[in-house]
Amino acid sequence: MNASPVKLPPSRTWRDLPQPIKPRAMSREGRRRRALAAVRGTGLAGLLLGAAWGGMEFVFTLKQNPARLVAPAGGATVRGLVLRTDGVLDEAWVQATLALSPQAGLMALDLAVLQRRLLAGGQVSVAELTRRLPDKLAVTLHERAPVARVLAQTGDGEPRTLLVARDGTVFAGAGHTPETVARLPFLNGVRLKAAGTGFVPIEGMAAVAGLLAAAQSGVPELVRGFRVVSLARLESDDVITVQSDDVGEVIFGVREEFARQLARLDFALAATRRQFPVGTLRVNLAIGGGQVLVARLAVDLPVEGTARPRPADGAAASTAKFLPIPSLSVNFPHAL
Amino acid sequence: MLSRTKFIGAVEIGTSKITVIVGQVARGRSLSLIGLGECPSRGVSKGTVVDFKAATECVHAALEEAERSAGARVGEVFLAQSGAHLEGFQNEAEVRVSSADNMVSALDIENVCGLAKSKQLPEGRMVVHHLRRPFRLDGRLVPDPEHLDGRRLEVGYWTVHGQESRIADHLHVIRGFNVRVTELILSSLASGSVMTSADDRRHGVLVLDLGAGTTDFVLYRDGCALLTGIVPVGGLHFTNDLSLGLRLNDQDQAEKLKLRHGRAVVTTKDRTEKLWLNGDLGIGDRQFPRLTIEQITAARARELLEVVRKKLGGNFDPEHTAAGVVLTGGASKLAGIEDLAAQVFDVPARLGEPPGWVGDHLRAPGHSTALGLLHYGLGASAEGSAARRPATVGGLLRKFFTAGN
Repeated sequence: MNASPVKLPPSRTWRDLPQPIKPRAMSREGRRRRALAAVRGTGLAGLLLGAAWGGMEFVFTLKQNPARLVAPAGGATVRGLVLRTDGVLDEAWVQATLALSPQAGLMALDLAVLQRRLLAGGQVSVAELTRRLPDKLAVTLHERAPVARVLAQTGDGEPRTLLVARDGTVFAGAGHTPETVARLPFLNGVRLKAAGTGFVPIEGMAAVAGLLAAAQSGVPELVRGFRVVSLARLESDDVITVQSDDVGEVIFGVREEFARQLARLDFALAATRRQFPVGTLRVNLAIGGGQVLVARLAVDLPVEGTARPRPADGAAASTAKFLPIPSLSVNFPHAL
Repeated sequence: MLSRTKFIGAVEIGTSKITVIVGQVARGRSLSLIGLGECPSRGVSKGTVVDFKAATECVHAALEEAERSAGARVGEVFLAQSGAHLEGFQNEAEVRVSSADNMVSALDIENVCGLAKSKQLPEGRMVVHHLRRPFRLDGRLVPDPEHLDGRRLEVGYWTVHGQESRIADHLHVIRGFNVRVTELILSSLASGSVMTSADDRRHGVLVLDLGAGTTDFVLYRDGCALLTGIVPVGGLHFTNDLSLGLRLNDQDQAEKLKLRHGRAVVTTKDRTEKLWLNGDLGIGDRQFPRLTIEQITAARARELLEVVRKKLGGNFDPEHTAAGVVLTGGASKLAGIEDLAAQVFDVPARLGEPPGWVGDHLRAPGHSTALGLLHYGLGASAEGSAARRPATVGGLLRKFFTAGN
């Protein structure tokens, strides 16, 4: 009928009626609800205004002085360290290693960088750093325990004594008492390779650590005399050679349980010393088949008042002339 | 505050009582009925507010009771509208399909609908509903003509309009509780939507909501509401007739007799059979002939239904009302009313049964309008909300402010 209909203005509907009502026409409950809505509305408006103001402040500061945005975050300076460690390092060492400036802000610290500093020396195996608000830095360390020491010649100066951990990590060692260091045997027959500011871990240290631990628990009086542990033949012959004050030279095989070898050593020494109370011996525990080869140094070294073999002399000691003891017959118990 | 769960109050301001049902709508999909509040009505006559203060007190008391029972605050209200001031008319329009290939476009539909709705109302009247009937494309009924091929598109609307001041009074009663009315729904449409199935409406059904002060009716055909109407006669008139006919001064006693012994069709043949008013033989206890009681109520019931039949006029055709007559509302509890309706309308009649998801405490016929408000209103909101209230920041803020109301 109508291709292009003429539209009349729409009739008024009930939705056109205004719904606001004056408070006096409301019931008490209605007024209460209205007041509650007003409170909520005011709260929301305040919230929105606050958010808008904060946003404007942020944008303004970002444009004018961006440095101020990070300053409040790092504003609280570090006023102390909270150190937890399972080793010997102390707070002074941590502070010296971290090298924090007195004005360093707690929130501005780069914890990853600080962690790398702690791990760089090698003595620390795991370092965790956490911010403890408002102004403390918590440091938790897991340290490597030294099992041996090694002399390292760096540059033209005097050789330096470095410590070696069970995993072969070589580190300078801090916080250890001289007595502790003096009890550690020297390592011989190893070649230190520089890697960055440290050294490549020494291979075979797990075997050395196992030997020393077994000796410490099995023959503690004997292990105190261990001066040099040589790894020179470890790779080629699977043996560890130990220079000992009490015995002379003892050769351990790494393929057999150290505890059994130490038991045989103890037994063999007891039998030998009955025949030769003094004198330097060479005891080879690595020949297999439960056999022990005991030899006696041809020209015996003085037992008392003479210098003990130095680590550097380890190789010379191992090439000294030993005479076999033909009359010595050691019958081991079956268990050994 | 911006939760996807909302609490809607369905409010029916009836002549005898105010009913509020609280529905919890989750994510706009699932409806749970969680609260009910009722209060005897004051200040309301034949569905319209005549004493604002008294009506406000009753409505607010019912709303508070419903909120207490629901344990939640009503955020918006669907309000039932009734009253003799409501009228309706039908208006039809047709347009030629504009495109060269005769495919109906959305613009064609918009044009024909706009034309059919553009009827100026007298001063002081305003539209409550535009109820669209099915489209006709070249004479055939189509539910959605878009993209169909045809030359002539027709549509008809049944427009319900009411007096502005009476509608505003209803809204203000609710606004006094500081809750916004989001849907205003004709009582008959509300009852009809919940008491009939889609099949009933497609086959044709007449729904009679017999209230205390008014009788609202809606006639469905082809799945759509064909026309609606209101007769300002209801259950209270039965009571009043009994009171006058039996010379009872106390309306409560007349109401008691109506509920106990009233019938829509006379079945008693014994003229001597008497009934006691109270049965306790106390002071004031009297006897009344049963036949008289039945005759009074039956006469009024028949008159009422015949008035409805007359108002329906030629629009009511038993052949197009295969689903018959469905009776609901408080006055439909009158015994034999369905038999009388079957006689008057010459189609099967039955008492309305709410859907199975309605709990036992809400299945009484007096709750059908409030139930239907939620049922119909949610559907209407879902259809209209996208067009009326786009999801803007302003809309969300308004939602926040009204959520606490």
